[in-house]
Amino acid sequence: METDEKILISLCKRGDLSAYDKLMQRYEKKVYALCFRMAGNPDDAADLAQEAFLKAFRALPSFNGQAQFSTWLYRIVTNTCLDEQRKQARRPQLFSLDKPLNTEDGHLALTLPAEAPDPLATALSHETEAEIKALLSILPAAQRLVLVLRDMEGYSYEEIARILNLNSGTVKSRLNRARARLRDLYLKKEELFPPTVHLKGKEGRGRS
Amino acid sequence: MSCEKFTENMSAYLDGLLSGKELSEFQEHLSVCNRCSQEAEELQSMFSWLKQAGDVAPPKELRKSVLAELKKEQSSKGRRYLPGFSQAVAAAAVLIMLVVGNLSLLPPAPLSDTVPMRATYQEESGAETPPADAIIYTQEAPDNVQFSEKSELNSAAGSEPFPRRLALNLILIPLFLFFSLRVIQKRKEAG
Ligand SMILES: [Zn+2]
Repeated sequence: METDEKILISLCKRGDLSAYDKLMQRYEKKVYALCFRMAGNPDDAADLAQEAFLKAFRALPSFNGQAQFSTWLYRIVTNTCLDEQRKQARRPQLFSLDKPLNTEDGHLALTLPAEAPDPLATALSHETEAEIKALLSILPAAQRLVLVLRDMEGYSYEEIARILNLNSGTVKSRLNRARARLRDLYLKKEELFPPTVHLKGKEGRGRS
Repeated sequence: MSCEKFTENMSAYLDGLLSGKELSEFQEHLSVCNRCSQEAEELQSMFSWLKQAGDVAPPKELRKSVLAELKKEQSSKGRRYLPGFSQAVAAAAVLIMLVVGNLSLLPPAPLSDTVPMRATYQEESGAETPPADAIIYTQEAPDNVQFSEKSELNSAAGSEPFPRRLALNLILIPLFLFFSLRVIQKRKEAG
């Protein structure tokens, strides 16, 4: 398995695309899952995964095999996701759950950006899945990342530390904060998602 | 004891990373502190809620679109993927200069030897008929005519072509070896 991967990597360094196809095949599920949890929707997740795989191929000549390939790859993926979050932070927010609105009829309203043409259609059919996505999107990106890596993708503290280039103490405290924050949201989710929740497609109903 | 220390260690405890004294202290605290034990329960419940998130499968076209993009990049700068290509071109150019230079600086020769000269002129100009000066040269073969065009560069050496040939070879042969070595080196680097 290991030597097999080394061969694939050296072929990729020479520009062999079919070798890269095989390499991607091994990691695409994990890479995409991570992007999906970070982005919250399939379209952005696919864009992120594609960008990360492109960056990885271009950077392969500088991969010297000192780190594990998977760690190296996931670092590119997480950096790609965080860069995107930074860009998005300058654009309108996806959900404005931080300041929930009380509409005339007394219900909570979620404000969705106008550019999502049909948010309900892209939302996953599973209600829990939609809740998880919505609550995760409220967490700051750096906290969401460690929580997704640990509690959804099952990486160990050491692996997370290597991927994010942090010491394990930082990973531990960041994860702790992320979990505490998500727990608060999780306990409030009945308020946040009452059965009669309104989804508003219009911008401008949200925060200023 | 205050809860703060335990709150900080909550994640480590839930992930089974505490041991020894730290663990027994934590367990002891949980048995007496409602706030912390409730927190732990809530987090456990949150974990099982998170576990309900289904598997996500990457779109089928993910790898295809990556490969299509990379193929485009490779064909637009395809030479990058032929390691040592530019060095090989340089080595070949130097080799041509060596051959042409040595042939055109052949020592003064009898009339019959002028035929190869014509061949070199043809190579360089790509024309069937040799240029005017070549014709002159083949017609009036005497010793120093062939250097008349460069005589201002070589007035001291007169008609003796060897110093120039020597200089030419001294410059071009190491250059040729240099580029050849670079080709080999580049190909090795690429694996
Ligand atoms: Zn306590």
